[in-house]
Amino acid sequence: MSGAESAPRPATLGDTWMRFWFTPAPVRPLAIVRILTGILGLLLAWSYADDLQTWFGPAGMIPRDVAAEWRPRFGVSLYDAATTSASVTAWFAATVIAFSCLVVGLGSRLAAVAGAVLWASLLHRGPMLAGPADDCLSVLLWCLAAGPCGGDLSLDRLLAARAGREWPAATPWAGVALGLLQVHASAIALAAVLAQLKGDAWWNGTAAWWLASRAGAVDLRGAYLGSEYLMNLVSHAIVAFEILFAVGIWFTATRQTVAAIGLVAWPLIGVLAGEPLWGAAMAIFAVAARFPKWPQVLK
Amino acid sequence: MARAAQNATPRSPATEPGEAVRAGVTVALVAYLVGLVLAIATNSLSGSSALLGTVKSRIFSPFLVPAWLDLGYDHRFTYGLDEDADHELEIVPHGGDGEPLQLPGAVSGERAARWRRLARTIAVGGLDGDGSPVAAGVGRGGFARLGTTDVDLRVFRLPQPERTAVADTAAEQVYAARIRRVADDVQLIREEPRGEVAPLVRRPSPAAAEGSP
Repeated sequence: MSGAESAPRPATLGDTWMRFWFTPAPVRPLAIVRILTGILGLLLAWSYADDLQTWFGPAGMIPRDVAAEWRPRFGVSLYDAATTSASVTAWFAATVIAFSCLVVGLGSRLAAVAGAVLWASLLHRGPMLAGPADDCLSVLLWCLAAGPCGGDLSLDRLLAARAGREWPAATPWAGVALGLLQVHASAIALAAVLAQLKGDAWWNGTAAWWLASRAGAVDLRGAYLGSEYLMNLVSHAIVAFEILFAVGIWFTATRQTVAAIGLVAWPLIGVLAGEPLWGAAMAIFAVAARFPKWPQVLK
Repeated sequence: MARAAQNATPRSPATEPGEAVRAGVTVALVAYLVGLVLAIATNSLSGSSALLGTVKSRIFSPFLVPAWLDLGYDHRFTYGLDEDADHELEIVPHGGDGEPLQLPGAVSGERAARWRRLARTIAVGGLDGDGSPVAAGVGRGGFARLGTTDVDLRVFRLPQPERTAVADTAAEQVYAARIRRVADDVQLIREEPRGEVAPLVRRPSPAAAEGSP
């Protein structure tokens, strides 16, 4: 047999597409993302809990007509039908239950869909309250809904095992969900970099100073007063890491290393920027990218 | 060890999606990814082109917006501009009598961040207009808490001193309005910054004054 005859056919775009999206992937990474997303959802929901009636109650500070006027066309909220304090509380409780179900893995996929719908409804009820972590949570929930997120580390699996059923260790749908997480991780990091590089502060290295001035951020202004280079280094390092992450997770050689760095770097950036839950959300995307998606790891 | 071995037993094989399912999912993925790119391109701070905006709003917004996925993810955090500073709200009974409602006040974390976003929305406005409708709603919500139907709402921008000139500076009032209920109507009377209603007129120089008829 000649070498020419045995040479593999070069992969076409279609082959690459099919391999990326439909190669069976392990369900465990998705299960870990599910648990972390549920915890993040509970933390973000907690930030609404004390002011829920103050904002959305019948005599709240964000009346339904104001919210409806503020949200974009096609925006809808289940809370629009909530005209009493009890009904507002009921919708919110349903959201918390959905996130709790994600944490323990009970009715996981349904919980992901319900959580995504209820979370979007809550954000549409008060769009002016939403922040970057809320956006990322929404994406995470929809990505989880695309795959068998309850296939591992879950009550779903436990109950199925008792009933004599077993979950597959790897499925193409887990591949779809993990692929979506990877695409969004890269897109969000890239969009953040593009937005930052429109401002002088990220070019002249003073962004870290302005970040440190914000409430909720770690106040490192004392250190920055002592060293301008440190301030510049932090500013540039944030941008450099975001570029590295957006690009690096697409190459087999760098993917796991970049994702591992992301597990530490994203929370750190979140703390420096005064958006710790956004940093946590980005770290969850890094968790998804940390695990190889390809089936050979199962062997 | 036995338990570990038991856990390692092969589980049921994954069901492979058929050609038709894969084709359907591919179409859905391509449609969504195009929508994602358009959402990022049209939700940028630089604005959106008419073409991309129209394509997105007609084809993709009906499913992206309700799902809270029509997002630009343009998390810049700061440009060091005034509008990037923290904002806070204060609501007091009109006339100044009574305890002011200060928000976020003593709370911290994401809960406080939501109040700051609300205050900033009132001061800076959104893409489609100013924040007065939001201010009217917030003021209306303050009626019950302050036990009155006539309140003054103010938004303060906290100082953001430059590195080269650190100094204690006071918070700047960037929005003020009186909100009251008259019969069943809620009225908002905005207090315009003095500079806007009474622009400074430069005093003519003596030479120009002499030369004038």
